[in-house]
Amino acid sequence: MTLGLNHFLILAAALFCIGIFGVLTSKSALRVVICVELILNAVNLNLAAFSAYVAPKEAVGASFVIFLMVVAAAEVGLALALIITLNRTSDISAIDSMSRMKG
Amino acid sequence: MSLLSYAWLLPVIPLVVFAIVLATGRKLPEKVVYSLGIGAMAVVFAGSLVALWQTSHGLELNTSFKWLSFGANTFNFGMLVDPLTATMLIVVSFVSLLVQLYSIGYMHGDERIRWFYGAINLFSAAMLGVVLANNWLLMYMCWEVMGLASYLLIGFWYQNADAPPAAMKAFLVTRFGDVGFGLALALMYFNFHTFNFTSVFLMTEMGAVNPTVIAAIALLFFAGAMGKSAQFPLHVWLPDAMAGPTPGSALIHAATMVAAGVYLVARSFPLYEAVPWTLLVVGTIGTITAVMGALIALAQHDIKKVLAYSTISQLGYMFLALGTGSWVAAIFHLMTHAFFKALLFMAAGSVIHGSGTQDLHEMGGLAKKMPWTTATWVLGALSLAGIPPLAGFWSKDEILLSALHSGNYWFLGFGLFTALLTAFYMGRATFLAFFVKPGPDSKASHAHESPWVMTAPLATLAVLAVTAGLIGSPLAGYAFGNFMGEHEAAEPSYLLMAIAIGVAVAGISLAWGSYIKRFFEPDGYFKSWFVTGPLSHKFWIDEVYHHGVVRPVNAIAEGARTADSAVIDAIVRAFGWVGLKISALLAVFDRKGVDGAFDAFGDGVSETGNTVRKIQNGNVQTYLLFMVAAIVVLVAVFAR
Repeated sequence: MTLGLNHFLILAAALFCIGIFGVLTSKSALRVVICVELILNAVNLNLAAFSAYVAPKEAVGASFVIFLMVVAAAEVGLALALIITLNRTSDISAIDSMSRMKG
Repeated sequence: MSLLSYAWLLPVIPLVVFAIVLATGRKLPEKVVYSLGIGAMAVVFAGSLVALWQTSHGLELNTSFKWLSFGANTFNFGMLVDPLTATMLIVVSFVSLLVQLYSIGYMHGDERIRWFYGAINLFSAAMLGVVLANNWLLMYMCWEVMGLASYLLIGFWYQNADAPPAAMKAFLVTRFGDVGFGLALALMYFNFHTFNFTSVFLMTEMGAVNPTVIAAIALLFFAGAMGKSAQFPLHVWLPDAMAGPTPGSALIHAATMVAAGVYLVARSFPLYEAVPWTLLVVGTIGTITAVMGALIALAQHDIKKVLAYSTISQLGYMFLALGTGSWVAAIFHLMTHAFFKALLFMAAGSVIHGSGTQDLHEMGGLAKKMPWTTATWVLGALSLAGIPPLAGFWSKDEILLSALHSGNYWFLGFGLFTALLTAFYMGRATFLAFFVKPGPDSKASHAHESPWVMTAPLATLAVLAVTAGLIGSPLAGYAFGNFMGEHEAAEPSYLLMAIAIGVAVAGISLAWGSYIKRFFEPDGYFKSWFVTGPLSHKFWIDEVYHHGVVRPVNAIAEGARTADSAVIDAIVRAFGWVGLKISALLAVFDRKGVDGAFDAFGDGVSETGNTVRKIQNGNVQTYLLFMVAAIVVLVAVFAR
């Protein structure tokens, strides 16, 4: 059995769904950030897969992946900083009990 | 330019005084007010003398100016000064002058003396206007102002219980006659298209107007005259009018205003002559009034009421004279009557002032206490009784002579009968007030003579009461009649004169025998007439009016009031009730319908908000969940 585009897409979709599930259900802010990373990487996988199978000559998708990784790194930095600040200012570790933005 | 063209000043001067009094109220000192009034009237009297002098030289004034016009109708005002007017001017201004002089004493200390002078001047202005007018319209207007002044003066002492109703009675009764005057004016304008004396007389003479219409106008004028001059059956107001101050009574209710009716008929005389039977009506009413007034005067014990009924009787005499066709005799008697009746009223005022009573039975023996008053009263009374050569004799003789020549022997007979009664009641009043021994309830003991401001006018009038008749007597060659333009003097009848003198003497002797010598006592013999009967009850005429007019009118008014409250008010209330009910329904609709709709809308918005805001629970994950769900739905919908 040869590895086709569909396998990658299914894997990416699975990763994406796991990420979404994690984001929606995790109590810990840290795990939310990890799950967001999973989602981003599912997207990266998709981009890489399309790049490799649809237009292998030009590495357009791959270059987008590189950009996205940088953005993800920045995002993780920002998220970690927020989480640390939150932990310091309020004794809240569980993200689902945070409802200060309630309308 | 003749001095007569300034005649318009005569009524204006007292009118200005009235305006000043009205405007200043209590600010001016009393002295200033009465000096103004007397000064003004002295000027008017001087002017009247000028008018008399000018007219006696054959000058006359008859001018008109346009007063107002609407459409094709023009109304003129204007003045007429002829011998008749000049005579009336003299009478009015002279009596008014003396009355004002006299009032200084009589009204002394009265709080409202300024207003008294104001009203007297208003009256004088109106009366002068009446006699100066050259048309009936202006005359009617002044005539009504005169009625107002009369009302004001009768009700002057409004604190007394009897004054306000008396004032109202006088006003309403005279108004009743004036309605006739007003109707006559309307009739005249429709038929003659003018109110001017000269034009109307000219048209009458030419026969331009139907005699029936002229008769109607003449009789309606006479209705006005009957009201003003207190002729039967409209005489009832005059005795009550004695509730006013005595000087006012002397001026208005004895000398001048009540004579205005005589003046009106005399002035309109060509109308009556055009339809001679109207004169018979005038004369008959006059005769009835003359006899009735004299009879009632017999039984009065209020000195002013005696004079009031005497005035009614004498005015009846003047209408009798008019009825016989001699307006000159009527005006002559008007003039002499004005002098001696004003004198008698003012002397009575002096008696009231000095003794404090008006009741003849509470007087007696005043002759010793009040010599001037007594002397002047006696002269006035003799003049009224018709003793020669006093004024009343000559004028009464003229009237009787005219009755004789006109062939109205009924008028002559009743005239002589009235003269007898007049002599008797004047003798009675004179003896009871001044000459009998004071009775037990007499107030004569502390009586005192009045001050000179009161006795001086009395003396002046007494001179005229004695002499004024001479100018119309055969002795002076009927100067008065000639002056009035009556050139063929009636043949004097010495027999008639002798009878008249005999009647007067008989009347006085009868009174002397009854009240001084007490040979017989009318109050005893004729008790059923004098004390309990028709005379003391004034022939029950007031009662007839009370039951025949006042009560029905009141009943109608009461009925109208009841109908008003039962029907009209009920309808109005029903309308109100229906309106209330409708508005209650509308209120329900408003509250439940309109308000309800708005409330429901508001509540809906509020509820929705409450429901929806629960979604915004502040939990980021929840938001994300919705987002994901939405994406899933969108994908499911569009990715097919």
